[in-house]
Amino acid sequence: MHPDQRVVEEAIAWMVTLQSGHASTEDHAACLRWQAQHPQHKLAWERLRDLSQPMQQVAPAPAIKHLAMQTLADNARTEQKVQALMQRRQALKLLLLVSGSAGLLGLGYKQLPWQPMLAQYTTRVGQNKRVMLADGTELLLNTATALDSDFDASTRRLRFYHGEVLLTTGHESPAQQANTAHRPFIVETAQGSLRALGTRFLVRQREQGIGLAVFEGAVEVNNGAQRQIVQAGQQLEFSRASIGAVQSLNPDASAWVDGLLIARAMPLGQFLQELNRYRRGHISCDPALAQLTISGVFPLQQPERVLQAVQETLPVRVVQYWHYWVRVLPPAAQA
Amino acid sequence: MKPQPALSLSLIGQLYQEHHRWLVKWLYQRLGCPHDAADLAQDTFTRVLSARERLYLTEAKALLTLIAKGLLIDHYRRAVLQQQFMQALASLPPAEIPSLEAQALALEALLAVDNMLASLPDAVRQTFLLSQLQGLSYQQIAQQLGVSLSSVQQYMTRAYAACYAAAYPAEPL
Repeated sequence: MHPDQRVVEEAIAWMVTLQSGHASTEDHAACLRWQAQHPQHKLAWERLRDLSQPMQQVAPAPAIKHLAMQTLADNARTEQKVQALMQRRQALKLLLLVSGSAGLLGLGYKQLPWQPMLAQYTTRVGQNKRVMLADGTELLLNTATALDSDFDASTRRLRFYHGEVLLTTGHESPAQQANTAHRPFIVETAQGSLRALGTRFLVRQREQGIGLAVFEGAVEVNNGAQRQIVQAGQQLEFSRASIGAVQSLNPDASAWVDGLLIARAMPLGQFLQELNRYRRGHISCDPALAQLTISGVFPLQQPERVLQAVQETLPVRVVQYWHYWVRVLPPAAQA
Repeated sequence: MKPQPALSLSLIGQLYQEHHRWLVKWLYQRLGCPHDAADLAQDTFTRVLSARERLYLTEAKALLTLIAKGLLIDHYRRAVLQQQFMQALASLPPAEIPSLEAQALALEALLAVDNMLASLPDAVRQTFLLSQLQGLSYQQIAQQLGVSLSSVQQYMTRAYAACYAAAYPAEPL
């Protein structure tokens, strides 16, 4: 049941008054009285309030505020550039512009922003892909992944930019070995390099570093300061700053290969973060709900249906504002 | 009286068979990327399907180009915003650069916000961003943009109405 147009207009008038920066406590009280007058008033108000909340979540840090204003504020400039692209059909020029500015980025890593865009092996959000390399190595790319291969006579080298990849290294044929001797297999990442010792392993970009999980054989991690060998059945996370403790392997970590997300008493917050990797947009979770746990096997190809299932299983309300923005909220809206 | 659907499913099937390859090629010439071209062609037919009740087939290619152009503009707009985002990132002091994941989240969020504000004139848009992202009071916004306080209130009203309409499109009768 949608509120009447007139009610929506009244709710907007209240919102405009209260957001002015000059609203009195009497204004706030009057708005509360107005909301209490009719369920439609309350509904319209809550919808508006929920709409403006994500806007403010975008900009908690001053740096992000700056980015937001720089990106969005000058619409005339944006439209001019879009029109130029439409007319001149020069999508490539845009890529060059992006790369032109990239040299300035203080990312603290030699990876430059255009590299992932132009990488040899990439997947888009929600896609996955299987790649066979010349030496028989198999790569399974999960959602939103980019990497390059760079093989030469002495080394088989991969550059991992972002996302997640499951590697099964190939055994070179005797003929190849005779030609090239044994070539080490190296995966370079922003946080350090991995040397594969005949093996099957998973590399995943994490917020603070790189996650490594070894299913067969062993992998040596080198973050520039320390080395550590990770054996089959083990996993850890590392960054330039440190190599984390070895943990036992989570067997569900590679379920995405079969198109599944497996949760065993997984906190809802973590579950939604995982799911979010497979759809465009942003899922936010009310902090009060983040510790609810969820278990089950979910199909990754249909994230929207998984969200539906979450709503049916847990005491939560899934609100989709527009395609990109989903919020998971407590069932009954609180005043 | 219910009007006849202008495009039947079988007609759309025919449209697809006859023009899909042509459309992919048309998009490829503009995008220079086969994957993007294939994606946008698919999106174009999805739009045709979802809007078939409101579409009348006069000239198949003209219809497909019209829809595909709209999608191309969206596509370029995302690319331009992403470029502006990267340039803004470059101007931050290194210590303040957010993590890659935070960058990705912020960019997606900004694209969504942009989508919501798409149809608004610049003054309205800026007012709304200054209020909601910068947290400025209406007085401060009025000073910064050199407009009256009552204009700021009008702009805010208009922006909220647009956001509400984007999030809750009027229900079909």
